[in-house]
Amino acid sequence: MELPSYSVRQLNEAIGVLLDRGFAPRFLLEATVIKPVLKKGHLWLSLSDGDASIPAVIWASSLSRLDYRPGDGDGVTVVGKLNFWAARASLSVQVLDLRPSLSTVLRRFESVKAILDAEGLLAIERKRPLPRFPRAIALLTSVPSSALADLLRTAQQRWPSCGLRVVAIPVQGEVEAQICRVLDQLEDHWQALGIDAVVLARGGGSREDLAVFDGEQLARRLARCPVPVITGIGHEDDITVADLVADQRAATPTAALVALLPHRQEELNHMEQLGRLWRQQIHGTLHREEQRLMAGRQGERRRWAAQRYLERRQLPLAGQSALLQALAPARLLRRGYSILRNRQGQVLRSGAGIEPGTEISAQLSDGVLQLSVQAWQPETNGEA
Amino acid sequence: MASAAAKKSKASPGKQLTYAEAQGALERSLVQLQSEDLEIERLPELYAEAMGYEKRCLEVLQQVSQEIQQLDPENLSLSPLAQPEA
Repeated sequence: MELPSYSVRQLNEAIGVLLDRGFAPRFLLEATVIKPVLKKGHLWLSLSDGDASIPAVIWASSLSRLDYRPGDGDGVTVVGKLNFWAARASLSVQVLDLRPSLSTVLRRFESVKAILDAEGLLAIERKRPLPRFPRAIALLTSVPSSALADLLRTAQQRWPSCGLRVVAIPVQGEVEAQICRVLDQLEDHWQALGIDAVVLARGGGSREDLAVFDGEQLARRLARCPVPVITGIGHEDDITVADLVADQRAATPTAALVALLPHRQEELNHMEQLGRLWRQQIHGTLHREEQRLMAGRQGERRRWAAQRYLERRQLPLAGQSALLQALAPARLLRRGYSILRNRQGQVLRSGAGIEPGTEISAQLSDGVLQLSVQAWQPETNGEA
Repeated sequence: MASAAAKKSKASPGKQLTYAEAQGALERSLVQLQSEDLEIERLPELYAEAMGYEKRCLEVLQQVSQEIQQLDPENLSLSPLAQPEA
């Protein structure tokens, strides 16, 4: 078989054609970034898995669109295509899109967490209680977004009297500085805005999409926020540094508002129940007081009846007293009567048996006469 | 002796109590109403206070429209929020 014959140029072009025909125009590549270098706006780097490596480039036009700027050693997932320069038979991966891999995100998470933990910023003791009935709250989330729709709907269902201050923030990519600027302003104006709490929310996505919430500077802003912060970021299983530093973490945006806002209907029920209870108690107090007053009046009535009885009894007594006074011996003595007594002091009601010469006494109104009996002359009926 | 809640409300005449303030004042009034030492002469006053605080609480609870404002992230000026499309 005759061997094909090429010039170097022809060979390189043939390889280029082969690659074009035989290789996927786009592919995903899991790799570690090695020695990224920026030259004339383009980022040059190597992609490696430890056993093999390949040169790569992110053109300036793509680099400006990326949310994430890879560092040396970062694990990344690349959307790329092969670039083949026929002139030098040079092969490289052209990076069209690039995201930090989960391992990179988690490594950064652990690194920032360790720094903040060492400073005590994640301590349980720092957690502040959420306001019981917030007057107004700030909602920091993407606008418009399904997360915001969930927040607004939940707030309306639970506590419509709470004012909502919505602040649009980007929630993905290299946007930590923008979120920090918003928090800086809130730190200055929260009182004027009447804000009692801050909700930091983002809807679901991959853990890598939530990487902005692992930022150290963002965490420090949240830690010094003058009002309590509650996060509702991603899914149930996603924990970011922002979640750790917040005063309370909820699994989702909706859950954050459920935790923060009381339920209007439940509060209404409670208020009605309480209203019935305290009115019953007042009724009971009044009833006891009425009983006490009634008991007092009955006692008064009994005393009055007793007094009337006594008064009725006193009237005949007064008559009898007058009679007694009229019949008193002293009164008779003053009228001229006298009482005769023998020497033994016994009152004499008859002269029969009294011998002449017997000493007797006569009681007058003003003294006693000592008398000697001369004679006894009995009276007979009809002879007087 | 005036209740703490009453003092609080009297200290700021004309001020619309927040729900938390009215609810707290109502709870304090109820504690006094339930006190064994309550003088019966104080009952009408405390009752009127409790009724007032309860009325304010119910006003807030019966509110159905929510005040929603959007802050400009750059200068925090208040502006009505355009409702997101359903």
